[in-house]
Amino acid sequence: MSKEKTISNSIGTQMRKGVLELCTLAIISEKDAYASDIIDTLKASDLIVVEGTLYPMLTRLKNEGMLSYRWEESTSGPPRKYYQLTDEGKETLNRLKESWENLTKAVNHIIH
Amino acid sequence: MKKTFSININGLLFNIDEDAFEKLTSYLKTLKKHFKNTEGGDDIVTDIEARIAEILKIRLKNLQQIVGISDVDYAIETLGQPFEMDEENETGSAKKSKRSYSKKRIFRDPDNQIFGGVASGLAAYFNIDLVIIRLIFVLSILIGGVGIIIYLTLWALTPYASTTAEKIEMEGETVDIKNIEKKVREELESLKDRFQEFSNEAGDVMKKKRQDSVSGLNQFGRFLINTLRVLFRALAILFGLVFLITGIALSITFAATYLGLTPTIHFDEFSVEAISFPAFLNNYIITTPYELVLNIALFLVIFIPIVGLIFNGIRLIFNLGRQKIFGISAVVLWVLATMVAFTLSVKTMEQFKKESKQIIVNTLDSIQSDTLNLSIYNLKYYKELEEKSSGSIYFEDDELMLSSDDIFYGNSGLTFSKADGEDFELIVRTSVRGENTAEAKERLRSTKYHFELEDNNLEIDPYFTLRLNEKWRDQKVTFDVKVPEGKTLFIDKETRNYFQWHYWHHSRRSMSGKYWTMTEDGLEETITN
Repeated sequence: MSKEKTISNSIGTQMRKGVLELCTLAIISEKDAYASDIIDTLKASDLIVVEGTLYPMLTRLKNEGMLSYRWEESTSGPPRKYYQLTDEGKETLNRLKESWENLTKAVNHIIH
Repeated sequence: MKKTFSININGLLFNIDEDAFEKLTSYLKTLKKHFKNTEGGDDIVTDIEARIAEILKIRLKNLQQIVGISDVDYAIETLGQPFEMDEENETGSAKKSKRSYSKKRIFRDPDNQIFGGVASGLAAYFNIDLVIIRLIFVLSILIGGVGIIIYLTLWALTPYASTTAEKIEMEGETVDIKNIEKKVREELESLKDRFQEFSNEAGDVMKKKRQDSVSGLNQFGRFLINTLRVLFRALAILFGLVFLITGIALSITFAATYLGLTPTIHFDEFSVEAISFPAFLNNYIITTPYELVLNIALFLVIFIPIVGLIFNGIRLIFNLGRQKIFGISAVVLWVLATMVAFTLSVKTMEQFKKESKQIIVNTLDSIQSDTLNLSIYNLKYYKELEEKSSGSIYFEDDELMLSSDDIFYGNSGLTFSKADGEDFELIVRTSVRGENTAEAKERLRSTKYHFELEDNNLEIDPYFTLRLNEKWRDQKVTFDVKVPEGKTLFIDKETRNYFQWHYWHHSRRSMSGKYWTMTEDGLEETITN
């Protein structure tokens, strides 16, 4: 692998990770969701390659106080963990959204 | 036919093939290991497990259907390998560099295996061409079977790279000098940094809260532990190398002497072919019925510690886990073998309990001359004898010639002294040991020595012989040539080579080819023209 490719790859990874966090919070803010819902949405937009990426992130967000979850019975199987945003999570999401808007505006301005 | 298991994943019941089950279990195990130190790691694994159940449920038409390996592969592929799940954040990169010590591990490679995948695993570990490793193994089998011991040891100690993560670990960062150097430098850099930090914090300790110094101490402690860990690892590798090299050297030596691959003795013009140690014991020392048992026991007594050295050497070098079962069974086996060998050795030693001696005085009164010419049997004769013999073993001062047709030749001793009377005398002392006096006496009769006297020429045979299949029981024959005062002994020139080859005093060599007259103080050289 060439050096340039490595660098662009690692920047891409970092960007995707940050964006992933924003999107996850956004998805949960729409409607309380369980992991598979989030995965389906993210996968539909090609934001994740392997599903496993999501679980450590959800746990971290929960530990950081952005998310909480409750158990809900399911009609078609075992109970599911439904995630919802905490107040802190909502605040963070708003801040992230804002910086995303600013960032895309600035970047578009430069690259177009 | 395939075995299937019934398993419960997150409250759902599945029927699963054995191989699929094993793959799934090992995947979950690596996940658990991976998230062991992550906050909420157990939750992550439980959630992933739940997702696996969901994926499998969607994939199967009904829950009665059996989960196969392809289904498990699909689930694993969908969820990804543990390392792909890592989140990269600021602390993550620091963690990563610390982890790089254990990043590369030795595995057996299931994809390129011929026997156990050891060679291909090693090739991946050292980043060397597989052909070279295989060649080294094959060649090292030739040097005393060392290759086989090392191969089996690695086979027993190294795990199979069964998951993709393990395969990646197997091929991970190359362990070479450059890398080791880099790691040592990194460690030294962080040592400097942390020491700086520590001293800064220690300086601030008067002003700041006590907590800070505690964290400083903690940091310093952690740094110390890390440094020690690196040091221990380096020491372990060093010891491992020493063990391995010693073990290999010992096994080569052992194989060579035990199997009789090297000649035991070299003569000036020819060397004597050596015999193997077990054959020597069987033919010349041990009496039936113990020979096989004693040989096996002796083999184990020597062989087990050598294998242990190689085994532990490899274990230390590659930082592999202990295999208690091997260690314990080796120790038990060694103790047993030692006990058996000791008991049988004592039994064999009992065969040496009693000694029988015989002294025969031959008065050589037929000699008319004042000079006795002493010579030994024509050298040609020894050459033939030694060429026929299959080995030569020393016991203290006696050299024993062992012949191929199982006739046992002993080396006779030769001394000179003053005779009491007017005649030359030849005194022959014979001794042999046995379990009891009767047995020793019987052996004495079969111990044959030879000499010939013609006019004033005395010829002595430097070897005595025993009957066929006789064992070594410390047989000794010594000729004592007694010379009366005033009479002369001529020692033939031919004896020079004989003296040189055998244990008879080295100073005797200078006696060859000269006349010696007996005086009051012993033999004195007579100068003749």
